[in-house]
Amino acid sequence: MLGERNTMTITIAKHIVAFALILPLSFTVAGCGKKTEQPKAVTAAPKTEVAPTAAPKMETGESPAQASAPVLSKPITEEKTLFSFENGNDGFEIPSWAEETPDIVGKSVTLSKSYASNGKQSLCLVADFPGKIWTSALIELEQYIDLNPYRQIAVDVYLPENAPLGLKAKIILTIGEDWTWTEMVRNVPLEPGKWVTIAASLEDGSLDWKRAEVNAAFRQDIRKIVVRVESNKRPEYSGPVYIDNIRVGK
Amino acid sequence: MKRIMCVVLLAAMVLGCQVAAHAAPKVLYDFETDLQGWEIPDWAFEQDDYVGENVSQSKDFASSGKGSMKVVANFAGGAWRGAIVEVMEYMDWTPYKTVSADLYVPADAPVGLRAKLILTVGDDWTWTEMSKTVKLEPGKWVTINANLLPGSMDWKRTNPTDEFRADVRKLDIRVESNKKPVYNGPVYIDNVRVE
Repeated sequence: MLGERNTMTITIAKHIVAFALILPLSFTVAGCGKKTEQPKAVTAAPKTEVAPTAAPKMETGESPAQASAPVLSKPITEEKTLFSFENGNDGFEIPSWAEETPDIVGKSVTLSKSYASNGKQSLCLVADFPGKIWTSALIELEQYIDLNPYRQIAVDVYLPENAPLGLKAKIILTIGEDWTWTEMVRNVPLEPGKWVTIAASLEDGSLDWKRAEVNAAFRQDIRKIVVRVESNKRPEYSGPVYIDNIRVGK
Repeated sequence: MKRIMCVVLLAAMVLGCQVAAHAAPKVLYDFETDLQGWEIPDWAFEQDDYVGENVSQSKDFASSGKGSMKVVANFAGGAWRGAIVEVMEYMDWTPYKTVSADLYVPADAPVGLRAKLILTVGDDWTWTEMSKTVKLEPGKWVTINANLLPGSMDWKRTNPTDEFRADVRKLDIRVESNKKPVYNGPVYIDNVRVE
């Protein structure tokens, strides 16, 4: 009896030692927990992405800074301005659904000659970001648009010099028969006193759009274009944001 | 001297061509005396999502002259609803760049109604809507305007060609309420024109 117990004890001990030896080895080979793929957006981050604190300086008279250039298969050689607001708001407005959403804080949108990145006028979106919570202000155009020949969409956004740092912006598209709300995967930091270009690739397989497969069907059935400015708890800011030169490139 | 005359003649010809390409504005329908063929099409009365009830000539409001077309609609809210009026007439708009109409909702109407123009074009009678609606403003005349020229983005899933505006067979104007607002009352339409 004692002999059998000793044998069993030794056997159990051997198993424990073996397990203790194998366990770290398994971590090394397979990773902890369920193996998941890296989010594609992380592995394919744009090469030219710039951290918010390192936004490029813009000399007077320069074109808007492209704070986060999308990855493209080849450079854009031809641009077409879709909306320059020279003759009106081109249908952009604060949508009625936004007026009923408490975390959307855009107050008004008007035409302005104060600042323009293209021509003489831009759209002026007045917002009241209270700070402490995530809030946004946006303009929206509901229009069926086919952007199939194009590889990039871009917009210029300007904050007055006295605005605080920390506001960010992105483009959002509504796509297809399901009216799928499709945001850019990243926000672009805005720089007070400078025009900043928000741009995203429309090329097949583009990784610039959240949970979206970008292909011809995506590009040819765009139903809304939204430009959204965000304050994620900070900063506090009550004032204008200027938006201009919504364009596509190929 | 001969060379100068040739240059002057050539310049005159070029200018002349340009003038011909952009004809003077033409008012197609001004509703001064009657509806000029406009009506709520029969198919709209048979569809639940179309809520235009009647149409008449009116002197209540006008953006041009004294008369307009008055469309009475009952938007119940809760779903997309449209009120549509239509004229069937073969039209060649080759000399023109845009088509426009003025719309008015009374000052006590709610905000949120929108409208668009729709063309039926060509041998296939292709139904071609504007790619976007225009918001109507209570108490104000609002112009809905669409570019007819090649390259225009104003038409849903359509890249207009020169043939597009040469063979227009119907013109529709549709007022829409997308779940809201609720509105039971008139919408006035006037000064349908090409420029």
